[in-house]
Amino acid sequence: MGHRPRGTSRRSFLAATAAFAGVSAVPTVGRATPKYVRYNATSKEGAAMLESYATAIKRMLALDPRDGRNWFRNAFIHTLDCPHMNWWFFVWHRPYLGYFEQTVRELGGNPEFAMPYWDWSATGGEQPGYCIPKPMLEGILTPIDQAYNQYISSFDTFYNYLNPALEAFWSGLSNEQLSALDVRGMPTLASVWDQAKATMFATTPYARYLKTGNACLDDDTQVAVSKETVDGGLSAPSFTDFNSGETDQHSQMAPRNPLIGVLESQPHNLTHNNIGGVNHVPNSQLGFMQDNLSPVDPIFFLHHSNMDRLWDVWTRKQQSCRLPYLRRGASWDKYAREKFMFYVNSKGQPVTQVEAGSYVSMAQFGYTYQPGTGEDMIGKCPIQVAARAVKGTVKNGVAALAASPRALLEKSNAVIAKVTIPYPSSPSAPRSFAVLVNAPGGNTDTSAKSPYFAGSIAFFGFSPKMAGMPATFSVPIDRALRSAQAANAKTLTIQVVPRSAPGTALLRGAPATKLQAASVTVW
Amino acid sequence: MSLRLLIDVGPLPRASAIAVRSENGKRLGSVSPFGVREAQAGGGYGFAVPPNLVQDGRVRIKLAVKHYGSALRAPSATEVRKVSLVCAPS
Repeated sequence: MGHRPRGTSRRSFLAATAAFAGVSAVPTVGRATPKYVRYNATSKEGAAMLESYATAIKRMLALDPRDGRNWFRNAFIHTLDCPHMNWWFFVWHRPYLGYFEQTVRELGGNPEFAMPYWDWSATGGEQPGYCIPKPMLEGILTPIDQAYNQYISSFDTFYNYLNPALEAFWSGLSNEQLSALDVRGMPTLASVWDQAKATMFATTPYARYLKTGNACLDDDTQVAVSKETVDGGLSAPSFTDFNSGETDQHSQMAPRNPLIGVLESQPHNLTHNNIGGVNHVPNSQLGFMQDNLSPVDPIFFLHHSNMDRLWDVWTRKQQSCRLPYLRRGASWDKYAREKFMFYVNSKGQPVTQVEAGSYVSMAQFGYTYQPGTGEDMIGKCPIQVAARAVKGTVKNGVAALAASPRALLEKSNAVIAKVTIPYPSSPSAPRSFAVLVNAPGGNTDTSAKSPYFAGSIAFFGFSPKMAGMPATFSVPIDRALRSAQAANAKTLTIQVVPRSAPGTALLRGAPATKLQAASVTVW
Repeated sequence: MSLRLLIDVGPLPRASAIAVRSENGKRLGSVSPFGVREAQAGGGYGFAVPPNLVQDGRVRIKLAVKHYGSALRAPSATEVRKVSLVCAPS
């Protein structure tokens, strides 16, 4: 139960960027032949890329701060615009990293450059994955290096160096950009500086907490980056479960659904905070990585390269399971049309392609990833889907729901029933059940030929510890709904009845299933 | 079948985290908001629950607020608003 065969290969999908403008179509993620490879930072190829990265950082530090590619100006893009704790988290960071990568390619003198990823979950290498890759502890690849000191030796030094350029930048912002900053709680440049000084800035000695001799993530963070935790995040069965909650704008937090995606809340957050020294040093000594000036630390981009890689792994897992990996309909339109207006391209010019929907595909930037942790999740298919459910009222083992079959079918691509029943109470108790829709009283046909049959559910094995605990299953019920619609049904009922094996008849004398809850949701 | 723990937190002090442990001290995870604005917004954090954590049909956990220089302390009612256990097929 729970696994489906591997599906289409990643390269067989359309190499087309999602067509989101003006339509509520089902979007797809394109997969053009990649030109660039993002390697594991600990590989030989990854190490070579880091040399190019160091070259580019040196040049970006030396750029005039009026140039949007200047190292600190680039970090301020994140300060001013990054979304966290909402559903744009992944899709905002992809182009932020993508355009930055193009700049590094341009300035680092390596036309093949692609940002390596830090696979913090990896095991079996020269050092554990949860330790910072060695090259990132040396020279210009760590912000405690003297190369940074002339800019960040004190807050005043930093402010005096950067503020004139930021004032000029601010005076050129559009009303739309200023409105987004207002939503973010940054209505003026002074308010940005206030926040930067209070919580984001670090002087050179404290710029990064983890350093040579203390280069490994702490115990809590090791749990957060472990394969077990990452696999849990990759197991998310739907866009809603994988991502953090929906908000109206990307600079807005406090989503209606406040659940934060596992990959964002665990490996992302804890790695940021640990490298910044959270729980290890006083607030006055926290480093850049623990707040929104984090891209001052070069490790930021390796960390987010891995986050982006995991989004790609999850997308391919969903594709292999033939499950949605994006929102649909009006929800997709809202997601796709959100504007990210602060990116800078490799020429130092503002990026004009601003809509989020442009960036759900990696084809935009022409890269792929050297395989890393999580690849084994592809093909491991969940059976549960996220639900915004119409809840039913259960009486005598039958759930009645205030929804008509016709309305459900008209408004959706798929209709999913979620049914909750108790885990088997003994080894001999039924473990296989049929889900029936609008079955009349006295019906005993639970075969797939029955017009009321929606699907089968089954428990795998028996566990005394789980006995009697509620278990919720998701079952697509479109087929049975169409039968009900053909019968002109105005209401909806759901039953779960035990049987000996899928496709067989109702168990004679089997006890009635204690249906505890039922609901339907639509995709 | 898998169990998940959902911890709904409110605003947390800067640079603090909530350690999530089993009754015997095994690390289950941490609630560690990234950034001050995020820490003030609160949110829901999910964790996988190992099957062996279920004892007599119950799951017992310990939550403690961690902050550098301070002793571990119990979270307040505004810091941890709700803890839920979700059972789902995997």
